[in-house]
Amino acid sequence: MTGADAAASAPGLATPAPARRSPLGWPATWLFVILTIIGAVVLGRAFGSAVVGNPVAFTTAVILFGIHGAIFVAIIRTVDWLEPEPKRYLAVALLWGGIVASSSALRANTAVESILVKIAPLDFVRDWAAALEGPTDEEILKTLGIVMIVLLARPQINSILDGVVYGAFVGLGFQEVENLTYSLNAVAQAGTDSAAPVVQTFFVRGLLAGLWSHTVYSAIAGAGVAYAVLRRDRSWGVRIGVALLALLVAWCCHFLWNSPLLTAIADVPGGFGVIAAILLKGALILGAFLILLYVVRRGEFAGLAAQLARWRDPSVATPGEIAALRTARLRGVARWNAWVAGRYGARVAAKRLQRAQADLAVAMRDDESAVPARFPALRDARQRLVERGVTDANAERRSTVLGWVSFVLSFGVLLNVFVAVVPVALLLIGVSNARRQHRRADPRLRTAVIMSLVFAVIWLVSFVARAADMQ
Amino acid sequence: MTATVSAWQRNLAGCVAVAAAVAAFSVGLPAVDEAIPDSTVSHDSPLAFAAGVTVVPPPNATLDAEGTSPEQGVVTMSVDGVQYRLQAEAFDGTLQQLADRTRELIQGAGGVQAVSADRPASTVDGVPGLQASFVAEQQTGWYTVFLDRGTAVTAVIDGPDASVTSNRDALEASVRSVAFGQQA
Repeated sequence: MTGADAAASAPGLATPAPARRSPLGWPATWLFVILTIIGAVVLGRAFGSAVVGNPVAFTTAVILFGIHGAIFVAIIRTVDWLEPEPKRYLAVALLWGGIVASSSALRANTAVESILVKIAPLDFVRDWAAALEGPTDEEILKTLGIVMIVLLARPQINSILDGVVYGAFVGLGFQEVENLTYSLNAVAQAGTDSAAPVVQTFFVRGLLAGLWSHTVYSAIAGAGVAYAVLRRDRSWGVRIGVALLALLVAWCCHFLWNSPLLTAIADVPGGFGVIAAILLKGALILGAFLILLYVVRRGEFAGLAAQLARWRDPSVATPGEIAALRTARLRGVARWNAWVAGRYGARVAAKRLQRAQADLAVAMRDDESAVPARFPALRDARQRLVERGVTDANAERRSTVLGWVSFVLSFGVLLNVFVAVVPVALLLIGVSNARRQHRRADPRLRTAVIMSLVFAVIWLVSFVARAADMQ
Repeated sequence: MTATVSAWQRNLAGCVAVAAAVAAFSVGLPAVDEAIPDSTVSHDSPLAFAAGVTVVPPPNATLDAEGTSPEQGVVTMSVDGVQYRLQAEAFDGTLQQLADRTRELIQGAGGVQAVSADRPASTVDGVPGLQASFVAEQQTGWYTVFLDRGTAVTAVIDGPDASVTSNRDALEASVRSVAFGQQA
């Protein structure tokens, strides 16, 4: 039985989803709209005059942090590749973080700091206010955004990873709006409408502290909310307990970042101590998140891979192709293999096949009625691949001396940009040999070229900066 | 049909809970803050209002929580209707530049009619400073700036004429009590 034939008769698929009410029929839609409007008004009143009074600085901040946010979106979407969440709900998550949570936190943080000033010694407030008010107000307010996503789109929460993704988007919205407000504060302190304070804020908050900020905290909290929603086999106590535990972990990460802990390291002269303290705190936070992400991604992949494996049909997915779906890196290697064997057309077909296989697996898990609709795309991609001589779009790697040499030499581009020619030449030689011998080519050849391009950009920026300094 | 109504009701209940939680933060916490009165500060011991910088508050002073931001080295006190604001910050200019900047800020404030020439001042510990008085409509006050090893302290006092006059000595003594601790 081929996949196409079996499309309508796969055993044990999930029951179809019930008919859905229009989004406007749910109270959650209206609550979200009302809170977003109120939040926008609060933010407008707080920062409107600063925005109008500093057009250069604000435009610079929007551009820089817009690019920053777009890169984060691309990364999160890569993590979310197996089962992409609908863009409209990701936008809702961004808006909650950026407008509802930000505006509420603005008022709450001010109130908490004022209360602390009234009841605690000033030196305690100076050292610990940010560590207490930020995590407490902001983490809870952001987590409410993930709860709001559950209220708006419960059928979209199908795995713990979904909670991580929505949480990350809520956190990202909050993070970027906070970056904009910090930029405006920096401009106010500088006293002039210029780009310099914004660029400085971008380096500190966007580059130095951006990786382990609100996006990460809320992603952790999102995992807890998703667990509480999905694990109906557990008692309410366990489900709520896990959600609160995840929120506590998010709180602790935020607390660690905002607190004066580890500042003893920062006392090392020369400024290196400050960098070391930042990196150590960041490594602890990011490390905790990456461990969580590894576990939940493995869980989601295992569930979806099991669905595909049930077909036992290489026209649907070979074991190697199923394994290649696990990470972005493996998917990339499979596409590279297809490109080496069948040029650009095969690469495109491999990408489409991977998408179709993932969509089929999700449909099998969540919505039986959607399974037949997944087959035309899968069949088309498979046919195109076979026409280009690729029968198995797997991610088997071939390691070669040429690949290693190219990889090592790519670092030489940091010293001289013209070294970039070498990895490009080695890639052409390696791929040409592989095609002639009908073998795989080492994916390090491709990695080396990408690294060379990145290093070339860094080299050029450095060159221009030095030239500007000399003038 | 029953299931649909039930889902709608669950959705409504969830919305009420979310709205209540958001309101607790954005409305409830400010209300709690309003309900707690400003605290009095002891004039028997120095108040550390910024890293390494202390001041002995005047008698009967209350801490104005709204105008106080320890993270930014700002403390605002209130004595008999007189506002007493201190700010400590890093400053890489000269004492005169610090005084000029403060003068500009005071002159830019609404209602200020005249500012006197700078005159020398100093803390009890001998840190040099500059001081000037200003008058506004039914208000009067003065500011004092000190600069010690890159740390600037600006003290601005203003309030109704009668209150400022009756508390001048206590406020002046407080300003002179500013002490710069060991630098990091």
